[in-house]
Amino acid sequence: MAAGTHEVEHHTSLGVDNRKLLMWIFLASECLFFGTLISTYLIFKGQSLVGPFPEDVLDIPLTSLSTFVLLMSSLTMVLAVYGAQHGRLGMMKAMLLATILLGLVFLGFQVYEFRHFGHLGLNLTTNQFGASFFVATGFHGLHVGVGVLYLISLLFGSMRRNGLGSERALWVDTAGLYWHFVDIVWIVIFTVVYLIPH
Amino acid sequence: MATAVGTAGHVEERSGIWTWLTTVDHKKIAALYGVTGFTFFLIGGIEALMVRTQLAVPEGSVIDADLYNQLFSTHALTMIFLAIMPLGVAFFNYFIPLQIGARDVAFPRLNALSYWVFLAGGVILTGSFFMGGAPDGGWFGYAPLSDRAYSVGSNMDFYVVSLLILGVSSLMGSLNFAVTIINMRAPGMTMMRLPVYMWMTLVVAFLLILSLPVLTVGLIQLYFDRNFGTNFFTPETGGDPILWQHIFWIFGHPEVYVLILPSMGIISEVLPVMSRKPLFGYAAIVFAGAAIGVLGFGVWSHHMFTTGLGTVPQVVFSASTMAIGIPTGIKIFNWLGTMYGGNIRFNTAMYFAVSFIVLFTIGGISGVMHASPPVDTQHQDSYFVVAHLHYVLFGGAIMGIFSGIFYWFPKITGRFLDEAWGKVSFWLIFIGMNMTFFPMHFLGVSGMPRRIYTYESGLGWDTWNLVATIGAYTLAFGVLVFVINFFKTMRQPATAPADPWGGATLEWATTSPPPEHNFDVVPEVRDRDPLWYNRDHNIAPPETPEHLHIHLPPPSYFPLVVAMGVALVGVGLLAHLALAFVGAAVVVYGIWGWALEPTS
Amino acid sequence: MEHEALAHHEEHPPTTIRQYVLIGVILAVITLIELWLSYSGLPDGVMIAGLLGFSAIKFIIVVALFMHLRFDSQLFTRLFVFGLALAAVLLISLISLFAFDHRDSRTVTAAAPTTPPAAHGEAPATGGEGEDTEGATVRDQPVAEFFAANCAACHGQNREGVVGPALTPARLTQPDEFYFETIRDGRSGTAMPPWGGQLDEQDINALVTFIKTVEP
Repeated sequence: MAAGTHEVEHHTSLGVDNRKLLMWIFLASECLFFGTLISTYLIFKGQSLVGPFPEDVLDIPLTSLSTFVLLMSSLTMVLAVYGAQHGRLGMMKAMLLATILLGLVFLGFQVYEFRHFGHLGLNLTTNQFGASFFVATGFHGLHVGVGVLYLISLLFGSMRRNGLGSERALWVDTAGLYWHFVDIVWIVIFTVVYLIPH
Repeated sequence: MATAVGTAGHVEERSGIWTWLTTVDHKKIAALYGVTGFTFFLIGGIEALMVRTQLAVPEGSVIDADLYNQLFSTHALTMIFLAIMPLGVAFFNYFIPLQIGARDVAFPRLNALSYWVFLAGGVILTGSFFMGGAPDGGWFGYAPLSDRAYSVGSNMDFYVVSLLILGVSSLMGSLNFAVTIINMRAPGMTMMRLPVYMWMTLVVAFLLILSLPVLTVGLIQLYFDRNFGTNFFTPETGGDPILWQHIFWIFGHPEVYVLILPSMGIISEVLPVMSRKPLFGYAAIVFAGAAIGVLGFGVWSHHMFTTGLGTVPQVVFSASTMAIGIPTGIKIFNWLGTMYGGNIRFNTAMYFAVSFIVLFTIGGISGVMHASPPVDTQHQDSYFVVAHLHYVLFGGAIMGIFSGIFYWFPKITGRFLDEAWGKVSFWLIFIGMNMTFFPMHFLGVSGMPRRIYTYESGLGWDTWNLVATIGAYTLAFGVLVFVINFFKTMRQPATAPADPWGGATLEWATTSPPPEHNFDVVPEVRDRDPLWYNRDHNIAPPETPEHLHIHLPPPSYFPLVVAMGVALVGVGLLAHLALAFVGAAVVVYGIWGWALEPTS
Repeated sequence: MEHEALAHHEEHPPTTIRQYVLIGVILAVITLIELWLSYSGLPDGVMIAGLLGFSAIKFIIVVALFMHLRFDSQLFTRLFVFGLALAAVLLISLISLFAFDHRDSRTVTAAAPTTPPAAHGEAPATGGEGEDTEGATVRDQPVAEFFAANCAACHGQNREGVVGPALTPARLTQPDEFYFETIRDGRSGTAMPPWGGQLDEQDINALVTFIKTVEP
């Protein structure tokens, strides 16, 4: 986000860009964040005293669909990065837009799922499953939402007269790192929470 | 790039509050951190004095139990998060670019944002005294005592929210420092030529980056328990208070090293310069610091030996805790080896540095005692632990910070703190600190529990409690002498030379105080002690070119906007969630403005 | 970290659009296989290993190819893998600290009919006479007295729950074996100590019957 001083951008000790380095270290930190959420879920697995239990509410085919949507958004994201890197700006913008839409679809699935669980009698206060499930997936959803905002601002930026400027590829690439990370977190959550039998 | 704040030819001080609000200069931000941190240090000290006054005699009645709980909890939170950490960050900010030969940190505006967010967190935490009650559940906030059922008021909500905000600040600061040290070193400064202080800073940054998210999750869960009716930590409905303890200490133990490693780094700078010989065993001290960092993640359960971990976990955590004594011991011998045979200058900075070694060793040894579960079971929740942690955190961290203040004061302000006054303050602080905390060993072993607001006479605790209280006032008097010394010094003209101590590291290669762009020419590094190498090899400092065109980033008010948004989110979490969404909108607005702001 | 690498920025990963799309298809196919696995009815162990393995493959593909770690500075890989490894080690150790004794209560339900705990032999008898627990004793003390002296500090004088959970018949919905094992082995990670060394099977059964049948 913050650009370094002029000189520094061209003379870094390791020849990598500061912003990209920042993003990678931040993602390392995020590993611990989601790791703690997921382990809380696992520690409370089977500790719910009253239902609904996971097998009563989780709809694996539906979530597989939303997982597929998020995976495809990673594909469109990487194509947006490709477009930015190879100067194919139309492709970049179209793929950014596609990624944003796919992200919104994923969030839509999540909102539907949360409301549906609510109708089935599962909410934050019901039991340990409800609490740990909603907090873990909810904070993942929050990350997707932040990612959507991030990409929207890039898309708007790319529509200005100067576009994203000379560092276009770097901006899109860094945003892509964040987006893919959110996707791989979902790969883990999908496996641990949904697929592994209860 | 930025033209607003011009070039080296144009370094006149712009004054006024707007400069400070919009500054992105790491030296100004360091000054903000330093002054704020020291102010909180005084506030935390006043809280401690009130606690000690209450405990001076049996059945004291100065303050009631409720206020006592708030005071001891807030004393810990203030000293850890609002005093020691920001004072450390003040030095990081000032000396990372100067010691690695850079013009600023990697992300100057992010740096400003870290400070303003920190200030917001500090104000919310301290302001809680006037807004319904400060946190009263200890700095560890053990569930279920911190859950709604046992803490009805908003006290512990203030705890959750202020720690979340301070965590955001520390995370941003640490990311910034890590990137700066890894990626912005001067030509020739390889990782193994980094000053030890920089190594310790890097370790601290990674400790925070990797441990804060764990605490963040715990705080979120606690907040949900308290406000949205979840049951993460309430046992009646399937939750588990022990989970909170695990989560807290997975963060909490690395945090302990976050507090002590910067001071270890500072005295690793002071000792060689004041002994006029290179640091003994550079590689060993660097690897020991890194080892402490890594092992620090594997010892958290030693805070929980009495919770019924089971035999195997107790053995594992006991062993890992004892193992961490090894790198720590290595460092102590390195410091002794550095002084051995040196031509030592015993000035105030050196007094504090040497006292660090002595006091930290005492605290370290009582720490290894706690590594043994049977011994720990006896010490748990007694004053013995209070003695241990204060020897480490006051005798260690604070003494190191004072050493750094005396060592770097001429560099930062161009003025020398008065040596005579300095030594008076040193002896008062040193004697006061030992009088306060050493008797606590005796109190603990004779069974006095921590966190009690009063005690009966005739239990054998009366004498030592009185001694400790007198010690606390002596200590406070010593700090007062230091404050007077500070103001006295600041009224004198700035006359300090660039390199008053014959220093080895790059910060001494520029003027005192340094210009806004730090170095006219970025120096080239040929050795671990670059200035000594240049001196011994008759390498002249690089000549200043006639025309300097150094572009510095322009000031920006967006960090302040974003920080206000973060503060508003915090207030919203305490008062009404709608306000939190407004705050989030302000954050988004601020970041967009930030991203679109011209920097080139 | 020592080497001063050359600038990487201008280099782009060599992957072509066609390859990216192919990777996307592979990821989708793996997800389908996972879906099939979770309905396949294979033994739990095989299924879990398969699911974890496949999701690890997806994880690695995304990180290496979509996030370009394969082609980017080694520093990024090291930093990220360090965070990831630390998260994995910390969290596995945290979970195992809880796992020893926090068994899934409903697994016990399923297992109970086929593999009753060795200690269970006498349980039905005690349970059968359960209605008349007034006469039952624990270490020669009436059960209620034993409870008041040894359990009430954590579970409350009226078994309403304090540090430990409430122990009233309405709340105790698990089978007897669950409570039997909890009392015998304790619950690691909580303050509940194992009583197996001090109480024999009959004592524990008496306690279980007491908390499950007698209203406070």
